[in-house]
Amino acid sequence: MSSPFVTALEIGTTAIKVLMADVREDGSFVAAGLGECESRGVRKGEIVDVELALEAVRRAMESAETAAKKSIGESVYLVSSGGRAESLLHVGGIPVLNEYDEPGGEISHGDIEHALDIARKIPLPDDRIRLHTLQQTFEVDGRGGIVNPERMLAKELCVGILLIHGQRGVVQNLKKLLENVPVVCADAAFGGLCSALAVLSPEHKRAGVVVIDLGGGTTDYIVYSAGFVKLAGSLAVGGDHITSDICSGLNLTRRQAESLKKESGSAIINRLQNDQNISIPAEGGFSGRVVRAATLHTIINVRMEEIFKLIAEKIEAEGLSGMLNAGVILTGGGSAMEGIVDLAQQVFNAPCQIGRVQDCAGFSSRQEGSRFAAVVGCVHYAVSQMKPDPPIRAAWRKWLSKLWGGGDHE
Amino acid sequence: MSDLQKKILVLGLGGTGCNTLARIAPRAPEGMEFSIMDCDIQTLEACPLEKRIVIGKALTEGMSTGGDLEVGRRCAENSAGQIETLLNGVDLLMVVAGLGGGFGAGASPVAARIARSLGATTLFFAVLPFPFEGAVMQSKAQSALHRLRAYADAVVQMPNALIQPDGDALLEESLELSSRTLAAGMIGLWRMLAYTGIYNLDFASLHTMLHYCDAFCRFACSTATGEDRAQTLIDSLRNHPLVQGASLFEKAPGIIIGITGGDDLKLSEVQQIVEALTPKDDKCWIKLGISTDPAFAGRISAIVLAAEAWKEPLIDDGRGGLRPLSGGEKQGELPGMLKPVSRAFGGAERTIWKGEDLDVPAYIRRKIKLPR
Repeated sequence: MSSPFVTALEIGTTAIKVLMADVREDGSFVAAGLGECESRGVRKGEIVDVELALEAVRRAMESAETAAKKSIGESVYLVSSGGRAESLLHVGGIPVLNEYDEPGGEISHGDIEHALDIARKIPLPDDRIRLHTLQQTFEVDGRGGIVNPERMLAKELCVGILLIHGQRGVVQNLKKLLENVPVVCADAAFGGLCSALAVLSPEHKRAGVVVIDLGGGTTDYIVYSAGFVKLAGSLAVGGDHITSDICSGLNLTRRQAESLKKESGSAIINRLQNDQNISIPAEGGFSGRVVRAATLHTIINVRMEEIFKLIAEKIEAEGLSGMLNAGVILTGGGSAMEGIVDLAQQVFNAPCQIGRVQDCAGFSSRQEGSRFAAVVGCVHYAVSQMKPDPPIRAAWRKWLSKLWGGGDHE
Repeated sequence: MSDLQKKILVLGLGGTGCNTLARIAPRAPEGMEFSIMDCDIQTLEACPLEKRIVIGKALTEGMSTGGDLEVGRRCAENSAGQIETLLNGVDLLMVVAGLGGGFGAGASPVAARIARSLGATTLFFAVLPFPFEGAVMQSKAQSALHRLRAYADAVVQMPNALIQPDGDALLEESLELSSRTLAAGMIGLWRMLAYTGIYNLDFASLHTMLHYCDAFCRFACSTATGEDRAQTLIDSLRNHPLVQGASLFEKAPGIIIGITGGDDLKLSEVQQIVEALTPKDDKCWIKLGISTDPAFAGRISAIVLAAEAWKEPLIDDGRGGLRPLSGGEKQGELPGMLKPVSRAFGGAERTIWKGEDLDVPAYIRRKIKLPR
């Protein structure tokens, strides 16, 4: 094949998205085929009805194939947002020996591999599965922040590994679903990481930033500081919760609540609109109604504030709250909500913006790009896996591939 | 008072509030704190209470608001700092205000908002004007009531016309009666909260009640002596001018009954009173407070606080009103609403974070009252 192409698939709670991308030599790519389809049988990023979900995935793939005018082929990269992902930092250290096996010597390539191996050995409970193992900076004799310690003189070498893990059952069910489509799942990536890859520039990562992907069933977040991922996770709370809050708070049907949320929802309570009323048209046998904007906005505000506060709490617990100089970047469907940027600014006390995808051509509008951030990021991820890697990363990748059972996407 | 004890403050706002408190204060038991606030220096000077606060001096130069609600509001907003200082550390704020005037109607919502932001529970006794005072006055009072409702935890409406003695009473007499009714209620409530009873009515239960009663409640209080005192008490409570008939007790979705008696208080009397005053269906949230005091020998006194449904013209879905509470649980408010939530997320596992079920709407868990 002259220019390789990658297919990324996201099985979300509200929508299933497929992106077929032609990868250029410099690592950037063009979106050749986009497919989107309303998701069914998925709740909180988990599959609750296999048949319905399977049908929706097939439909989304078909529409992408039609747009790209070619077949998806055998393998896809999967974005997994569900599974209550969490991150865990583990540090492994080894003593560095010289050629006479005495302490103190030059750090060799083997030493680095050895330290990484030790750091990676994190026992996980049976119900958890590794999604990513991300290397942190090295620490040489207590001096941190070293990116490549090779050929340095030292007595001790330590390295941290940040492990992102999800629920085994959820991820395996997603993979099983793909087998039934049938396609091979080349690799699965955490949704939060994918979104970050799509919207962050290296400057963002160095300055420190938190990316929050406001999905339908889950909210994924990932924190970068000094260029490395420091924290990641997923909350099984999302836009669906807002809709159901509105349902119960205003006594509406799900459909009415969903369209009310999209059209008139706001994450902040605007005093000017306090006395404004919103009329809901009659539909399907349900009579029309008038509700107060203040009520609707309060319901949304309370929920969104809670989600942001939960994330802020976790960031605070890791001692990272003072390091987010680039602030907060929002992606996902929830970022289209009015006032969401202001609310995030309030809660995190940091600048906030809506993420824009980078290094990807072929979208008809910027909004469309943002909506597809996770799949775009997944292609970025896939591309980074395909590149002839520097030796350390190649080793990782091989190991990663082993983990996922199918590493044959060269 | 020890630090553990909750701080209760009675605040009089505006002319009506000042005058009423001046009448109540002499009857009050020791330890009850009063404070009055107005922009009219004359009114304040006429009041014998010590803790007086003049606000809005820059705006009215010590004169009254002239019945202008907007002036009252601006006075309070300008002196928000003063009000904050006064309310700091207060747990329960009882406010008496006349909603027909300028200051009472204008400053009440502001005071309620500040109290809420400082974490105090607010209970308003809103004195409504006589019908003969004109439609303008009435509508002003109604609109003030409406805004007050958004901020106050509970509002007890006290229409002046209802608390009048029969026949051709003197003006002084009728004012005295309405103050007495109010005084009896406030003091009774204060006593319940301040002293530990056999059946303790504590601050938290009152808070629960005020929280769920959707802003409006009614109260009645009475004292009876003699042979058949329990029955006499029941009858007088039912005929209490503010209750407007016994049907309120039968329909009340939430009710607090505080009974004080002497050492001769009998269980059968308590049972008789409670059974007579509470609705027959099992859905009513009932909280009892019983205390004995040697000073009440031969007497029996009761205060009843009953929740009332609020009829909002906009929302007729029954949610605007008060829902029967199935016990004191925090989520009992919406018994029928909890099931659809679990269904709404299919078979997916519930999201539990630090013991909280995040699938339950956030506003319910945070106990936030939705503006309606």
